[in-house]
Amino acid sequence: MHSIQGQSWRSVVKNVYVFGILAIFFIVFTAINPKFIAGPSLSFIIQTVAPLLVVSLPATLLMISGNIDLSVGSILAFSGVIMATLSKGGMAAWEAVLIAAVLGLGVGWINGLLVSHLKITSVIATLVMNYVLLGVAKILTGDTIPYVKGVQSDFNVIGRGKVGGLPVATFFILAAIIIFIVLQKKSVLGKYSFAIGGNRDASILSGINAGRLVWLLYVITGAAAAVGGCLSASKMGVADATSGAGFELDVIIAILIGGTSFAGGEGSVIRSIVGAFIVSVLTIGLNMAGVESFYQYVVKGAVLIAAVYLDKIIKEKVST
Amino acid sequence: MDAVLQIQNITKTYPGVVALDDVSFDIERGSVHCLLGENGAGKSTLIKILTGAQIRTSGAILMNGAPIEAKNTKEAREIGISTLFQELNVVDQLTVEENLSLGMEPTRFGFFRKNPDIGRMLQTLARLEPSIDAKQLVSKLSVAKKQIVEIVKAVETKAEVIIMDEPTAAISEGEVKRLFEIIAGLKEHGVTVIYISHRLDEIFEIGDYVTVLRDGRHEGTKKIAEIEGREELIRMILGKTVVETYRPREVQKTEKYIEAQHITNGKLKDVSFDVYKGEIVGFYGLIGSGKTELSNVLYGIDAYEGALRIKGREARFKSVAEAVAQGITLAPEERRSQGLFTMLSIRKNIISMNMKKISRSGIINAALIRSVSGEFVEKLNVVTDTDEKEVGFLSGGNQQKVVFAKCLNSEADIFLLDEPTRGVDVGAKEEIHGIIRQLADEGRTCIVFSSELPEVLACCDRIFLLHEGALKAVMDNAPDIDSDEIIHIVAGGGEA
Repeated sequence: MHSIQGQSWRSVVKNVYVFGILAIFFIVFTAINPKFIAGPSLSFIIQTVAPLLVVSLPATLLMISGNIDLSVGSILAFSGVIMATLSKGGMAAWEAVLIAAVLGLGVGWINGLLVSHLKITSVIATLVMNYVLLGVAKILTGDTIPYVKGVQSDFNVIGRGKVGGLPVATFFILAAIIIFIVLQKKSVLGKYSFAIGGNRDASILSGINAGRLVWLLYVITGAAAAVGGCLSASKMGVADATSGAGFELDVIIAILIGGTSFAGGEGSVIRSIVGAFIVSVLTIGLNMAGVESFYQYVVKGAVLIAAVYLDKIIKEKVST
Repeated sequence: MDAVLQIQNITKTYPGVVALDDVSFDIERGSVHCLLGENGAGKSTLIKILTGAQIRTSGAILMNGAPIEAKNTKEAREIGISTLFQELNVVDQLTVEENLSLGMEPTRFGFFRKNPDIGRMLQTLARLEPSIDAKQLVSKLSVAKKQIVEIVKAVETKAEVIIMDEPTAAISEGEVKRLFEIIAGLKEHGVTVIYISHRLDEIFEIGDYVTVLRDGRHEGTKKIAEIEGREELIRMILGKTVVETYRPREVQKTEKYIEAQHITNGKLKDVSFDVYKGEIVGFYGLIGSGKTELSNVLYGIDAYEGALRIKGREARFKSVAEAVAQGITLAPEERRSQGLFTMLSIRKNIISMNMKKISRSGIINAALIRSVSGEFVEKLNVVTDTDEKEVGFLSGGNQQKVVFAKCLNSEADIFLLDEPTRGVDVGAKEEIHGIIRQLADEGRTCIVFSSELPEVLACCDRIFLLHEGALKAVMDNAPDIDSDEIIHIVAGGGEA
């Protein structure tokens, strides 16, 4: 009994420490700039975190299964461009988002094809896809930046708009949270992701079609990245082919800060939600502190290293 | 005999190695059939063929009289052959219950339904090992309990044959007892167990039949009850036919190259010995006797207590690089994976341990490579049309010669040779023994670690007998040496 109790105490530590990190960031940024605590409204944080969160959650399941998607940044930018193009053509924003999502799903399908069917290492396959899509997005926009002139008036609604005082992005966030927590905790896909990432051979021997499930995860991640791209473009009011640069790193930081194992087999969608908030608070805090974007890369990189190392230490302590 | 499995004329060849050579025997339904043999005798290859992990070169496997053709472990499992591999196939991150039903859960629209079989599975689990909590994470279980989870899963997938690959290698004595009770229970339910272990006592305790493989060949299948004792089994495992006889060599025992004093670590118990310049000595013992561990100590891989002097100088290697710098080199046991760069050419393998010799001021010189490589190909008689051929395509004997060439080129004068003729054919064996003698005649010291008695008898001047990490006896080799006495000692029968 003692060990069971010890175990649950430890798993509490493991699950809760990310909230601590989030709190520490709040305190640090408030100390640097007292306006921070009052400064960014909750709406602003929600609008900032929405694209990241919507993508990080499916990508968490993907990482739990032992795979990675480095093409999310380009899918994000590409779908923003698609949305703007369609909106220019007179299409309603909601329809444009749907079509972008279908295209993102298609890109995810190709990623899955490369990884599961052609058995190309996921890092390589999605890195290449990232490159290809960057090219496609640039072809679509040409040199025109900002590429939003002539969009419909509802273009900004999902990213910046409000319904009944709540940012529209809130609903995307809530939907993503509910969908992916249920998928992780209750669905075959979620449970098998852990099995595949934990011991691929054992799961295949148990009759699990690992390749097909990983493929499905890529499709879901691709669609989610496209929705994230629409949220981002709509919020910025800019559809920029290069806007996805570094986004995949934000996603990875969010997931790893949440303690999901890069090697697969363990992780948590809930903790990735916190991870996404941490990354967004960090971004906002650095912006408010007047740190230039180039330096932000350096800081984020350092945070990632620290987070991964901290996670390693905590796991070692917890497991002994 | 009611045979559940019939193995007929199975042969498996790899480039350069005959792993199984025309092996045939039957396995009786509901028996515990033990599979014995030294490392490299072909046990694992046979298991891999039975489970579909590898495809046989020729021969047939019949199950219940009908030929089977499993293309992978999953298909074998569906046919009714489950395997407990040494690397257990459980998912650590899931609970016991989740592992048991993994892959077999009924689902609807991508969500789980209640599993009607889980009750029965948990009952079986409770019957076999009540102390396992079904809600526990598998990562928290001991190896023995993980095995039991796998056994439950195998039983519940209607396995007729369960293969256990050294199941007791990593579990405690009490757990072994429990495992044996479970195996006895499986037998009662008509399940056949193919049991692989190096521990002979276990074979006598739970086995009904034993099949011994040696050097890829079927040495024999016998009822355990008809076997007279450990020594008969050991004789089957090791074989007694000496192909070559020892030709005595004159060694001037003047200069001590290796002085080992009270070498002790986790596996070795107070091992002390001297080896002289120009000598060939053989360390001989069964698996687990400490051969590999001793070679690891001499090559700077493992830590130890005690003292080691190499060529008169105190040595305490912290890395392999330090050992190599002192003129020690190793021809490892796993030639293909540890000794060679199989995707590189003969030429590039030979030069790999000594870049200084083929470069000038850090720039590699192609002409030097050709001359160095050519010299060794000729000296060691590597049979090939060109030294630019990929090493992976060579025969086992030729591959070993390339390993020797690579070691020679490092300008070492102490050669550690771990199973130098494993998996090479008889002719090439004699040739390699000849090379070892030549190396020693030229003043190098050779230490052979071998689990083949004929090899040790054929080429070593002195034979060091190991048993459970201790040096039990040192014998001077002679054409009329008493091999019965040697077998007696390495089987734990006491000092000479």
